[in-house]
Amino acid sequence: MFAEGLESMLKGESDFEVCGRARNAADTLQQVLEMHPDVLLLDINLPDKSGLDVCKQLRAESPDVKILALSMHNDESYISAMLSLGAQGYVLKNTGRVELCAAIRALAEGRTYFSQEVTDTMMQSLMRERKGGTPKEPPKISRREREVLKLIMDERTTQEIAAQLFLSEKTVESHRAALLAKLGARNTAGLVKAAIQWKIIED
Amino acid sequence: MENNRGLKHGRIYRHALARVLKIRVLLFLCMAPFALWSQPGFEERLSFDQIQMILSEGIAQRDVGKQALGWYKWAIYREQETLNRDSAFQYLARSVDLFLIAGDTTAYYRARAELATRLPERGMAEEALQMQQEALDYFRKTQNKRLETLVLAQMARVYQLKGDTAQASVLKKAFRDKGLMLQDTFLLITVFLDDISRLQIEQNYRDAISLAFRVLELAQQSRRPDVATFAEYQIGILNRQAGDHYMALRFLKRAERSVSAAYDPLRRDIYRYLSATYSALDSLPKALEYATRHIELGDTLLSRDRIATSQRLAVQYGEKERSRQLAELAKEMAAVELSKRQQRDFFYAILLFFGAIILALFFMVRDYRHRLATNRVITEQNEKINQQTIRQLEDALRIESMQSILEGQESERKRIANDLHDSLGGLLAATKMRLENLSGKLPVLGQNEEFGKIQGLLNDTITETRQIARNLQPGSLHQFGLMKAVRDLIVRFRGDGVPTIDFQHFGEFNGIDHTIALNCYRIVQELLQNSIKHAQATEILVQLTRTENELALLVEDNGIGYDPQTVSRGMGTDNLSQRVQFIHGEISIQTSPGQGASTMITVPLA
Repeated sequence: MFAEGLESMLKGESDFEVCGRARNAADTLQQVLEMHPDVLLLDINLPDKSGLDVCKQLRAESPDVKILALSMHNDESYISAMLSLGAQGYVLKNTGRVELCAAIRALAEGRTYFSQEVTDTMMQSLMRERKGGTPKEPPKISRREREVLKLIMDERTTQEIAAQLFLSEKTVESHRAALLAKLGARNTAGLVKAAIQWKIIED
Repeated sequence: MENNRGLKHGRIYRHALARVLKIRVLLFLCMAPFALWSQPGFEERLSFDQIQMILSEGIAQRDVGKQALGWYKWAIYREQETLNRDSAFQYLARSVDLFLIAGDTTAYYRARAELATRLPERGMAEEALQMQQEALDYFRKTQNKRLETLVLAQMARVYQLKGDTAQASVLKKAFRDKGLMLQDTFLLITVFLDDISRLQIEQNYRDAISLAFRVLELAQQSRRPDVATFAEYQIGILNRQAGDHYMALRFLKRAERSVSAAYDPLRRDIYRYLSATYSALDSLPKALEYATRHIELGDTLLSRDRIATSQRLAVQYGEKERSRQLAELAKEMAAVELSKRQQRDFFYAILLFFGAIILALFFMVRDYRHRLATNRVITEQNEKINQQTIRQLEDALRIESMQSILEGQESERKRIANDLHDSLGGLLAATKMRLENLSGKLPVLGQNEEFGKIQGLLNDTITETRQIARNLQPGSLHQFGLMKAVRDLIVRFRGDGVPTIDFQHFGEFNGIDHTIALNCYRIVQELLQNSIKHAQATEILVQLTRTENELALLVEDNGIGYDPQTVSRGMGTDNLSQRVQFIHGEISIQTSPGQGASTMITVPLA
């Protein structure tokens, strides 16, 4: 139904020719190899196979075809995955006719295309994520971790820390493990060193 | 055994003597020179009858000293007759005891020293020497030179037997010097005769014979024909025993000639051995002659013996009567003693019986109580185990039911999400496209305001549908793992009034069991919604930490916080704790009003 709607929509464009319509992954692969289209509009949610796998396979067997991912998922994980697997564009299924045609034309000319919503998602994702232990920026330490770290620097044992913060020893150990990972330390001495370096504890 | 008894007596009286002596020493010191120089009876050789007489008289007259002397002589006689030193030892021990009772200290020590000479052969040379030393000390104290010399001789012999020849020769010399000094040939003869009997037992006939010659010589010097005769007789039988029958014959003949009394028992013995010697020399007529004489004399002696025996019997009868009375008395006493003992035994038996019953009762009660206690403990333990099992079953049931609920929930969500995505989403997308196609064909529509509003509403519907579907089913979780799914989730919370969300992750999140990952995702989702909707937070930190065997989720906000003791957050936290329990995690919430909330969940990874 969706594909039919799409086909009728694209037929209105004079410079487009719809050379085929596939219902599943196997059909898609076969038709691409037979027809050699310029652009493939690939739905990520296929009934028999993930669009991700089809994309990957096409890249290997038919490297010339441009792939425009069509998806309901406006998620960074899907966008990144499709890009890394060789898709040149990513648009959401609710994209309007004008934008969709622009995207197809961009791909046919060898450019990439992302719809506005997709670009927003990517930006958000890059902004939100902080990579632990990057040398220029100190990692964000939670309040509880800060308390634990303070007590570790006071040479308290796990039992003492657990008793003082009303936590279980196991939880204290988990905080400690998280701190070690965050600060890229291997032991307590490393923790203390990193804490001083990043000026995390300032009393 | 009897030997030991004799020795024991010796020991006991040695100790008892110490007390007795203290009282009597002075008395004997005065009496010694008169009473003990000549020790009547000690040095004579008595016949069987004579010894029997002494014993009978001693018993009849209740003369313990006489009895003691009798036993002493009997011991020596028996020893010479039978060559049995064991019985002699016993008779001597009895004699020693009796001398002690009689209070005849000198005789006691003499007999004791004599007894001591028979100890070395029983392996008690040291005891012997000690006993003799005591005797020696006593005789020295009482200035009894004769007996001192005698004991010295005996000690020399004991040393010799012990193998200490040096000490033996020293003592022998001392003895000989003293003997010579005393000019007491009889003493020497006594010692020599004793030596002879010892050598005879040891079958050392050569030395025995030479000693017998010495005795003979001494007897002749001291004009003791009876002793001389005995010496000749001794030489005779010693030679016979040594196998020299001619020499035996010669000296037995000399003894026959010199023996004085017609009815001396010695004469009979001489006849007996002469007969035996002639027989050995094949002089059968002579042998027969002496045998006849021996028998005749034997008869005479026997008749004499009979007289003595009848006398003895008469004496013994009185003795017997008394002893019968005594025995009866003893019997009565024994009966009394027996009944007493029976009573006592009965008492003990009763005591023992009751003791046993009490003891048995004690053990029974203890055992019963122990069993009760054990039963109680076992019951308690069983109950505990049962309760534990019930709890475990309940837990398992709850987890199982929760699992099915959660699984059902998830599959239902997945179904709805797919329906929304595929059917509804597809229809909406198709509708939108058709509308767009239509507006392309009819430009009038593109300028119509109402048509534009309809298109806008349709767009909103599509976006909303997608949003609902995505919340229902985190498609990226299955595809890309927990970390990316959580990141997608966080990215989705954006717009005006939405707090700043920091996301940090440490470690590898691929390969985590899907059930755990899904629940973790839902937990983070729940916590984020709580922080945004209820806590009015402006900053949120989401942190995932994966270590080797543990997954830690942290959601911390700067919101209004709450009192975890009193505030129930309804379905949200309930659902949360159920999920945590379901994946065997631990939840730790740190919050208080105005202080924000920090929730940490640790999940063990197999």
